[in-house]
Amino acid sequence: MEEPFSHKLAAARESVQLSPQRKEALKQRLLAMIDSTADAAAPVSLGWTLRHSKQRPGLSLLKLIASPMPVLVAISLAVFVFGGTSLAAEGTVPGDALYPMKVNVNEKIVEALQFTSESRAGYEAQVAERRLEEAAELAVSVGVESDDAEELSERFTEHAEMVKEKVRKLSEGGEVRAAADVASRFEASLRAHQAILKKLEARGGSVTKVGAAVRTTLDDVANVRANLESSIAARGTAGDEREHRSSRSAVEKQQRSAIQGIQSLRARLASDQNLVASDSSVAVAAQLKVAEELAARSKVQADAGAYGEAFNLANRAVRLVEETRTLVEAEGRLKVDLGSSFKATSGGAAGAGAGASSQVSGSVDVTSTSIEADADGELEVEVDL
Amino acid sequence: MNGTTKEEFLAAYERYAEPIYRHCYFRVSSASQAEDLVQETFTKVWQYLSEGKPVENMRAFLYRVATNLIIDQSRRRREVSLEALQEADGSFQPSTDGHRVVEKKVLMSEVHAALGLLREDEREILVMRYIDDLGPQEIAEVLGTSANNVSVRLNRAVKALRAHLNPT
Repeated sequence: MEEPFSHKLAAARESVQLSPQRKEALKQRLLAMIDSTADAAAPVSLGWTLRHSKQRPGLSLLKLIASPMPVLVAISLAVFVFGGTSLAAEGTVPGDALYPMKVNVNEKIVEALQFTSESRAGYEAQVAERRLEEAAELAVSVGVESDDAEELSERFTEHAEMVKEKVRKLSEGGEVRAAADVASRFEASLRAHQAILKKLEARGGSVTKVGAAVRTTLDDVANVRANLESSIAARGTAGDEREHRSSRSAVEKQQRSAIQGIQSLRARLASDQNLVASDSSVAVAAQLKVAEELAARSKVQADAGAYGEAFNLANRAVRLVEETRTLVEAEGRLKVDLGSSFKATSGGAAGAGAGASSQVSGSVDVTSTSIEADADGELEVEVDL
Repeated sequence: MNGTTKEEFLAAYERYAEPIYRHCYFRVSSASQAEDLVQETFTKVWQYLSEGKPVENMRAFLYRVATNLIIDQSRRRREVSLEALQEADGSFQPSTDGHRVVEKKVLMSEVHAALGLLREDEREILVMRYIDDLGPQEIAEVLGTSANNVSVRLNRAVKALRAHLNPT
């Protein structure tokens, strides 16, 4: 190394510092993550859990920060950061006096707690989902006024565009699996909300504008997800040992996410027998069984070293669980029978290469439902009501 | 997870957060991405520790995790970022910045440009040696290879940098 350039490197090194303020801020986030995983069997990184609850606004704010987190820590943090007014704002919808605080203050504060590109992308998706939940609530309670529909449609579209942009940046930054995960979860949420809004429209709710925005976004996101999964599948078994370790780790993380989601939803349904109607409950059980099957197939592929295919299968499992969970929560919250909406196509919308090289042939009967694979390996669950 | 391990982890954070940040900064040419990488690095290490897995050499392990995260992003086309020209608390103002500030910015721009000419593996080893001040044995432990191999790679990286800076 020429002397002048080695001196330049040394001088450059001295001029790059992590400021005490930034170091402390990062440390506080780490501490929050450590505390959130203190009681968990498997560590969960500080995520972007954000759920709207009109009935229990305080609870929704606690869930807004991290999942899981010891309740006392969450309450202290929420009160310290937000205060009583912000807590009250959580349960609002467009037209309510405190709604601006919900979207301009609460959501911005939580946005600042997202410390990775992936969590920021996922957070945008959750904010977009909040707008759809608000649209559904308005449609059920008072019917959506035209100004509110316009506002919700615009806000939803704004956040949906940001999700797509952040997914694109993740992908271009080489974080293809993270991009596929975010896109997949967002797609699941959109698919569920499309079904919810359709049901509400059939009942006379005025959600046409929002519904149209969801349809358009869903098509885009499904195509993006399918292309990302094609890219992942195409990687095949390429790469050195380090890449294989990284791929395996990503697959296992996605499998864990699917299994934890399945267990969590089953536990929720078991603890509240009246959360959903009995026919919905049967359909949910069938959906979760399909998700379990996908996770098992993912494990087989991973053990064979086919990490691309394994990841895509686990991603489909997560997608199915997320879609099911959103429908279950909506039915419990809105008191609307969504039983006929539990008709999952686990492969997602049309798009190239959804990684369907693994086929499930034949059919499995589960009580009053059927699970069949079509010629392309897509799984469909139908419930006879 | 017991309290002692948490204390050790936080002590490691106090000691190594800045070096890891510096390493990431020179690898990715972005202060905000470097911060993200520091966060992800320590988060992954905590997850590893909380699964009861032992870490013999925390410093080497942190560098290994950080460098793996950077390699996972290595498909991103590396450009000299305007951030490299900015002060932490302000924007690049050539008309009003003092002489020393401008000198520093020019230096950083030159260093980033030079490092940007290299392949990812060349940049990785040069940053570890000349920015992180790791010895060949330490680098070998981070990369999971031998000290001999590190020396060979280092020589090649220096030659590559020399060739880029002084093309014939």
